[in-house]
Formats: sequence, C-alpha cells, structure tokens
Amino acid sequence: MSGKPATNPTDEKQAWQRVREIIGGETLTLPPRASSGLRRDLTGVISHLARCKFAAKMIGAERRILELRCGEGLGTPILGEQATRYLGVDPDSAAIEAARAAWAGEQVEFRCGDVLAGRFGVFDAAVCLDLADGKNGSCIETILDALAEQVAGEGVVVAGSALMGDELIGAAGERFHNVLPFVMHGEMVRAGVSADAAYAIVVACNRRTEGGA
Amino acid sequence: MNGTRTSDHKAPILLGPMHAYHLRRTPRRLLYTLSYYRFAAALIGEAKQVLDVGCGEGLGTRVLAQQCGRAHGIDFDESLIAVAKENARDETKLSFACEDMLDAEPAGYDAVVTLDVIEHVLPEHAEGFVAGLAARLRPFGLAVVGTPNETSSVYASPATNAGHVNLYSGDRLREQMERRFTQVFMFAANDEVVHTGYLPMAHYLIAVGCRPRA
Repeated sequence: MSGKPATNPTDEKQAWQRVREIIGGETLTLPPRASSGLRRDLTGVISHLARCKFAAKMIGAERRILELRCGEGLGTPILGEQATRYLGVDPDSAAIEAARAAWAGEQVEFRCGDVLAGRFGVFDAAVCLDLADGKNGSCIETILDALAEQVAGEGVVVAGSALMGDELIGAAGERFHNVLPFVMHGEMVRAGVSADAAYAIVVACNRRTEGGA
Repeated sequence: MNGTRTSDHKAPILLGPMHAYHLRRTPRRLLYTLSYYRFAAALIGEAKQVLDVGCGEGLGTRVLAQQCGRAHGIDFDESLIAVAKENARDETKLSFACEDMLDAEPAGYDAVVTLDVIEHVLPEHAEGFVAGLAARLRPFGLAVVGTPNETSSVYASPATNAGHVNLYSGDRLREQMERRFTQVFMFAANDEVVHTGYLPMAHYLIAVGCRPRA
C-alpha cells in the first residue's frame, strides 16, 4: 500500500476506514502542564516542538541524547525519534513522573536530578532548550558547562534561551570553538543573531580545552 | 490573544487514535499540522468565526479558536469528534459536531479551513466539496485548503497513504479552487515552514481562496 493511493473505495467513509484500521484505538493523555499549555496557548507548544525538531535535525540519527530541563518531556518524541538512547533530566519530580507515564519507551529514560551539578554520563549530543527560565540568567553558564562536560569529544550541544541571546552566544563562544547562532520567531528558524529575537538557539561543537586556542 | 481557557482548563488533554498514533510513530507530523493551522489562523485574523472542515480530534481547531476568536469543527468520524468534544467541554469559543463534510448547508463563516481532507474526497465529489466550502462562507470569506503534494506520496507512510483517493498537484489544486473562488493564492510547505517556493518540490500544498464566486 505504501506509495500508492487506495484503490476503488466506493465512498469516503470506506476509504477512511482503511486509515482507522491501521491506526488502531490507542489514546494518550497528555501530562498536566502540557495540557494546560495546549488549552492556554497552542502557539507556545508549536514553537517548542519546532525547537525540538530543529535540535533533532542538528543532532542527526543514531545518537545518544541527553536533555536537561526536559520538564514533562513534550519534546521527547521528536528528540528521541531517531536516537539510540534518550535521557531526560529535570529537577521537578512531578514533571518526571508525568514524562515517564506519557513517553515510556525502550530507548527513553527520565531521571529526576540536579541539572546544574549532576552528571549523567557521556552522550553524543546534549540539549537544553530552556536555558534561562527567566528566574536566574546566570544559570546559562552553569548549564552550558554541564552540557559541555557530558558530550563526547566530537559531540554536539544544542542550547536555547528566551530573551538571553547575547549572553548565550557569548557564553557558548567561551566554551566551544564552533558556535552556530540561530534565532527563532514562532516555529521559524533563521541563521544569525538578532537583538529583537524572542528566542535564541546555538549549535556548538569542539570544546575549548583549558589553556587551548 | 483570544484564549479558550475555561474553569476546566486543568483537565488533561486526551489525544485520540489519530494524534496518539502519529505522536508515537511520526511525532514531527503533529508539529507540521499545527504549524499549517497557525499559518491559516494568521491569515484569517482576529475576531472571526471559523469553520474547520474535517477537524478530526480538533487539536488544530483549538489553534483557530485561540487565534481567530471562535471555531467550529466538523468531521464524519464520530469517535474522533467524541474526543474533540471531550477536550472542549465547557469551552465557549470552541465547538464540534459530527457532520458529513459533503453535506454542506449554506452558512456565513468568515473563513473555512480544511487541512488534510480533500485528498480523502473521491475525485468525482471534489467539485462538490469545494463548492460546499464556498457555500459556508460569507461573501468575502476566506478558504484555506491544505493537502499533501502528489509528489510526496512515495515518501508517505502506509497509514498516511491508506485513505488518499485524490492527491493533487499544485496546478490542479489551483484550478479546482479557481472554479469557486475569485482569487486563489498558492503556498508551498516543507516540514513546518510555509513558503512560496517551487510547488512541485513542496511536500505540502496550501491554497487560499478569497471571495466565493456567485
């Protein structure tokens, strides 16, 4: 059936029934904060999913991925889709429980932990799309260190922040030889830096070593 | 922002079989679909009455309600509409009904949106379907019709292809729309990005029709 349209259905409902037979009856209850976000402002959810998709594209397939501040894991299906392993970490135990309930999978794991000081292994990519939550901008440097220390030598860090683009790019540049800057407006990604961007994201690789160039 | 928040806003959102299937197997698809709804909502504007034809479980209809003012979704699949209604309980700007999309009653909506639907309408019914969209609009109303490009079908999953009985090229979609709308604007989409690039290489097509023909 793949690649070809359905043939000879006598009406639309009969054609639709073929879809229903494939998708089955599985349902999914979204975690509480995600549900609240959908009810309040779906555009925020769309933007978050777009950030996760952008990060997943930058990381590529067959990678071990660490996500810090994963929250309820709304981005986990996209980030983990092509990963060999996905670990989401968040200090909020209720959020982690909700993430486990919603997104359990063979390659998917969630842990409640300290995203600033905790170390959870070595990964091919480390992601944090909630670098500055508005409460404490100085966390940017600490979380960037945490991300950098948990990726393998040729690994990639993807970090995003609302309203803190300049600080993010500056801090990333101090830690990595290669920093690719992007800004996002809604679900749209554009390369470069912009003072009025609501959200900035960097893709960083090749960590600077102490005393190195 | 025209929110749909209600006293029951803390109730969890239930994803029915459609969204649950895709979120578990092709999770980026939800992003793409919602982005096309957001595109449609941005063109329609605020303080509008919008009809979502073939709304399924109604998640996209929620984008229209939040961005445009009020949205009503219809679909012929009773179980999907049941999920949509459950999630919209007590909401005043969002409503749903189980209706056959081909049985259009004249109405006066400001805009009609139908995404991922026309490819499920048999070719011999497509003209009537588009005429029905036009009939549900006020005189200068707007119709937004989105559908996978026929060139994308070789990359589609079995679940996606299973119900497709009428895939469109950009040219054919434009011609279909021009028979019922005075102006038609064509857009291309790849992933979540809607643009005006070369239509044969678009994964998804979006036609915007203005002013239904008399």
